[in-house]
Amino acid sequence: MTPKSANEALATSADVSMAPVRALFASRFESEILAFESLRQEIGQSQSAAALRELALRIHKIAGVAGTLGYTEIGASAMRLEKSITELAEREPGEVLARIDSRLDTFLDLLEAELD
Amino acid sequence: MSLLDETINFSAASRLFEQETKRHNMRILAVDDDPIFLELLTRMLFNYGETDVVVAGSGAEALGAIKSAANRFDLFLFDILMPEMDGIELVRKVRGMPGNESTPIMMITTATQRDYVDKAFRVGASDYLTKPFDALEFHARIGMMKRLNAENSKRRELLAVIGKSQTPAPTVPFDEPMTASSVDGMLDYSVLCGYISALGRIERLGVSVMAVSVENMASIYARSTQKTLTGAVGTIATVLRDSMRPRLAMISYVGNGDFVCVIKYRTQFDQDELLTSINLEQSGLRDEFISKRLPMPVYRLGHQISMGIFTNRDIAHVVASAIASARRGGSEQPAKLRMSA
Repeated sequence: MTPKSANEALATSADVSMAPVRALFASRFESEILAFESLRQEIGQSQSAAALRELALRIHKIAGVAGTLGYTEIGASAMRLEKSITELAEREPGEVLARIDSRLDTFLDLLEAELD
Repeated sequence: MSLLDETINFSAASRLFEQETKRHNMRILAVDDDPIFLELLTRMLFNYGETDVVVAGSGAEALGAIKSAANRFDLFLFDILMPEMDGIELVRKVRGMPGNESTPIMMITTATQRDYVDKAFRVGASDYLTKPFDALEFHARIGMMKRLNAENSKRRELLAVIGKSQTPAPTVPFDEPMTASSVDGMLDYSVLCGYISALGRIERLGVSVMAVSVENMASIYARSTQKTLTGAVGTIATVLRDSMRPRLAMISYVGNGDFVCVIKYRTQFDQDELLTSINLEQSGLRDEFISKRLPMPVYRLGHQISMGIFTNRDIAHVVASAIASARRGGSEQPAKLRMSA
């Protein structure tokens, strides 16, 4: 089978070589879900700006990698969350959490759906 | 698809890109605090034949790798959002390290970090890549960095030759772009074009392009060594930048005495006021030009050309129109719009 175009060739070669990275990325989902739940609790209880920053950074990292590795929905959901947090940057942590809470739920559901 | 099919596909893809590129490997330093992303990036680069990749998990580690490297890096790939030292601070520090003033720096970003990208360009970044990566775009951008690096190498070699030569004429031809890396906001022309081309439709609405032509650049060129020419181009860019602040986003020298300015906020400059500002900015630099036995630059301003939301014209066409307008400035504009020393 010969690749029909440069784009197909790139996609195919990427699929083959990225498989181990994709597996490594997916293996993190469970610990990520736990970390997000813990940060959500911390922000809700103590209005922690540091916890919100940590949450934003974790979302940013997933947003950057997920789409490239073929987790399109997770990537898009993470990007929407990241955009919302950026737009709410001036608000109190508790208020930011309240506004993104349902999106965060959706995002965590998507991660959970990928667990075995 | 069988494993055999996949293997054949992978080999065919590798051959295809080997044939396409036909190039030497770059020595690349990739910096990100996420090891999975570094692994992903390394493998993508490997897929395109770039196998000499060093990775660092932080800005501090990257600076250490640059300082201790036996051979200079040809390309830097920096994530923007990193704890402690972010990618912008890292660009600033790398640009201050001898030998890395013009090494291409590609920022890695997400779509929500546009402001950070602009800041990165202002401190010396060369280009940016948006995550998630599109395979073809990734390939094209790395290729562009490859060409930029090749041009830099050629210039370094020429400068080394001219340094040993008795004839101190400029090494960069009169009609070719050049840059002064020490000038904040001044970019290589190819980088500026890449930046504008990558703008989204809505973002294009917010910028316009204006050219400024230095009428007597040929005379400045004829009396310059490469060092004084670079200094003069940098000084002119600084004068123009400071006169247009805070509306100037970035500036490049295209060659032939023409500077291209990217202007933010869609605001139109009053050309009389702008020339007065340029005049004032430049008046303090008279001694600098005299001491180098160079004539004071004489400017012609072109019209601002908006990119427009539905503009399908390529950036080269927009820049060409802007430059043509600037060169016509002398006949098109009233005499008072000309500025002389």
